[in-house]
Amino acid sequence: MKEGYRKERLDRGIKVRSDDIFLISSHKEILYRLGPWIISILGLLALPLFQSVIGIYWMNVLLLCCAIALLTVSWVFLASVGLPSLGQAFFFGVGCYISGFFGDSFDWGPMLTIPISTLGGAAFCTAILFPVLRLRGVYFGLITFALPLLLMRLIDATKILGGGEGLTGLPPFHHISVELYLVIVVMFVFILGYRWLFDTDYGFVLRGLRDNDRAVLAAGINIRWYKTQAVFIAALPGTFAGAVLTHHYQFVGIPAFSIEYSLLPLASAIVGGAGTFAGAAVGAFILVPISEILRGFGTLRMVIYAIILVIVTVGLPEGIFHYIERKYCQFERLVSIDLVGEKR
Amino acid sequence: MKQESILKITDMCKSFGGLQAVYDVSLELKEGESLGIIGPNGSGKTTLVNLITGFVRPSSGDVFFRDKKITNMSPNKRVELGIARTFQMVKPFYNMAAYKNIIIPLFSKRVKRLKGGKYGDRDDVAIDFLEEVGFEKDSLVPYKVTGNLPHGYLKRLELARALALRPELLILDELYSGMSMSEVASTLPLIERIKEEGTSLIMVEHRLKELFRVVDRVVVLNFGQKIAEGKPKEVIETEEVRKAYIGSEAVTPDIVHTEDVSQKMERDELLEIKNLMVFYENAIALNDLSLEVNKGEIVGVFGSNSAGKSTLMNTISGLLMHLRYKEERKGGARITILGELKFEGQDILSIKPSQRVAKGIVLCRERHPIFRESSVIENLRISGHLGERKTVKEKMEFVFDLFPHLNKLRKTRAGMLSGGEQQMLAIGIALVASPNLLLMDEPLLGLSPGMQAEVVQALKKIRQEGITILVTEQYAAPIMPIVDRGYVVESGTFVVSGTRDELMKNPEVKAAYLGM
Repeated sequence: MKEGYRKERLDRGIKVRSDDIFLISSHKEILYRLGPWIISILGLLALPLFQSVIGIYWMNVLLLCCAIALLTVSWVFLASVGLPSLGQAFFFGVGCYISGFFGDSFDWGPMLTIPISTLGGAAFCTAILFPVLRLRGVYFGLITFALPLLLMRLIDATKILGGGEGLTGLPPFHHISVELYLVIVVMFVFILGYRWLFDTDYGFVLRGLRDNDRAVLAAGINIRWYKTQAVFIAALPGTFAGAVLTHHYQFVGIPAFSIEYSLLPLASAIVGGAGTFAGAAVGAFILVPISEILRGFGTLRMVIYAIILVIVTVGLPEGIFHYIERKYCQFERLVSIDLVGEKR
Repeated sequence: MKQESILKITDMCKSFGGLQAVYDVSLELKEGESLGIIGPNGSGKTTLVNLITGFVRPSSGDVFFRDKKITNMSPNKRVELGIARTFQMVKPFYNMAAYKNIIIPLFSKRVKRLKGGKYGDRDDVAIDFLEEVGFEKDSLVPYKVTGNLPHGYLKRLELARALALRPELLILDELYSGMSMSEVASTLPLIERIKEEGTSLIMVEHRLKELFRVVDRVVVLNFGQKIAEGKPKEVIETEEVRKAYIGSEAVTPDIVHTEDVSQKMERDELLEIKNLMVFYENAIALNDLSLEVNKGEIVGVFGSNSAGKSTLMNTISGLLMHLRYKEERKGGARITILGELKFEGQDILSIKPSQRVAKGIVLCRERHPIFRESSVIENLRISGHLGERKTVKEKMEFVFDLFPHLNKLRKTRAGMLSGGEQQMLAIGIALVASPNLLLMDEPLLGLSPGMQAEVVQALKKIRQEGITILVTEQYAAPIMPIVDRGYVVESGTFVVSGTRDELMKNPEVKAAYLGM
């Protein structure tokens, strides 16, 4: 930077206009605002149509992307209410096992077990986490980290629900397109739904919990009850993702609680840009394919993967999503200092 | 006036570990009455507020609200009954717009149950409340992100959040500490009106003049015990209260520094600032400041909240430059610093904070940040770990000489100290780093009059050791007697500057910063 100049960052004109009432005045502004959403929604919905070109393997990767994105969105929601979780595998595994249990015992199809395990699983997770809601920050995280490992060992040792071998031969979906569309649509429902929820008055109470729960308490709000609700809402996408993948693999076993499902969402949230739901999904859609591509490297895979993670976090600490957003909404220029002085 | 009791506390005791924070306090508040609680720092005032509002459970004793026992009720249930409070250390929701802070109390059960409480659109109601506590009408301030607001606004935001609950008993915990004179003046009528409307009031406060305008009765606490109670003017006259609260001798007026150092000594420039400009993103924080500090002086910078005092201090100490480098690494610095900053003739604008400390520029930041988990002596050792063992030892002896009270607390965990003791420790930490130029950002903030006098005395002694001091304050009266020269800063520019006598004679300075 030259002496006497400083860098100024300004919102683009179109951004300012589309923030205001002018949003509805021209299709250009509408397109600017909704464009990224429309492109990403249509793009994702179109992908399954090219199944024969892309190949079934990458369809599976896409499904996994969406599942991790759901887990990441759930993580961001919990973190936004001041309950950073280190065990998204807990939600995922519970969803897996409930749908697996019903599919195995009663031979119910996915369309029946998925709603049951999404809602029932979320309720179960909330009940288990209820006693530890008074813990804050890293202490809450530690408990959630331990829970999936505990359940994994419990199932392995007591041999309930198939024990170490797991339950096999569960009812599948009719076609992979059905599950893909289901997961993609539900993912966008959760992303947009959470965004909407956080802008309501109720959402602001939830946000307040993260900033300062004592102040929320002083405002006459039962923080334990609100945290309980938040955990239930946040558990929904996690259990849903678990239920879908169970029917996709037609199998459920103790890997459902594996640590990968806890760490991948965490990494995705950081790479994508913590704090936004869309950013969380972006992170998942970047990290999961990278990890799949790297499979060819064998054992070196984790090393390369970790190096990429480190580079991204150091190079772009604000997250990829925030970086793109900034470039999309703002421009930078050098201003001479005297100019500003005159203006004042 | 109704004469039923709204709040009653009986034989309340509370101890944290070995520390007896509140001991055997009983008091009663009548419907519509207003009560002031005063006492030195660490006398248990905030703990008492926490006990009434349920944030802390008593070791023994009971709380009654309208003759109903509420000792074991949770804080949010107490709010439903109508007890609202503010926090001494502001607890705003930093990441949302200011007016959204008010949404949260408006969403509570209490407000929903009240007549007209089921607002369709809470945003308008929230902004009304903010305007009531003095946010500028029709301005953009309520829409700003809370974290970017200056402290005075946060204090009033705190008040608005309590008012939004439409309380029957309002408890204000040091509302005025950290507010400027004009902010205090604008909130006082509001408090008076709330009282006239029949709301019972408990105020914990150090600013006695403002407090006495509002309250009917005063309770004085010392070491967790009630030492006096009665009419404000009578209570403050009693010998015991004077001793505990104001300090044994009335120190402040007679420590006027008679000889004028700046004239006697040769003008030996230590710090020179020329045309300093600081921008935060697109907002200007410091606009074309020039300032000089000569060796051996005490220079004061006075100004209200958000005038730019802390920005100035952070620029000199290098913290701001450090922040700028950090942001640059993160992708795009939002802070811009321009101008000249010279220390002993050398340009120091772009060097690291640590190098500045090595040169002898030491900052004692506002609200006395210390290492809470370490003991007093450990705190001092951490600060001195780079220095030579012998000098550090000497410095530590000097600190304990300066504050004999700290000597008794050597092994105590710093987090357990009261506000005043923490401030002493913070000064001590700065001194151990062997400063040539000691920067003090609002050292008197939130201290009781007695403590303030003690700190001012200490500053005087520090100067006698040959250390130059640059001090900021928003309320100039207590520190004015020891200042050689002073600057008054308003929205980033110096508007008045001069020697102590010149400042004392300036009518505007008198009104705004001396409270005369």
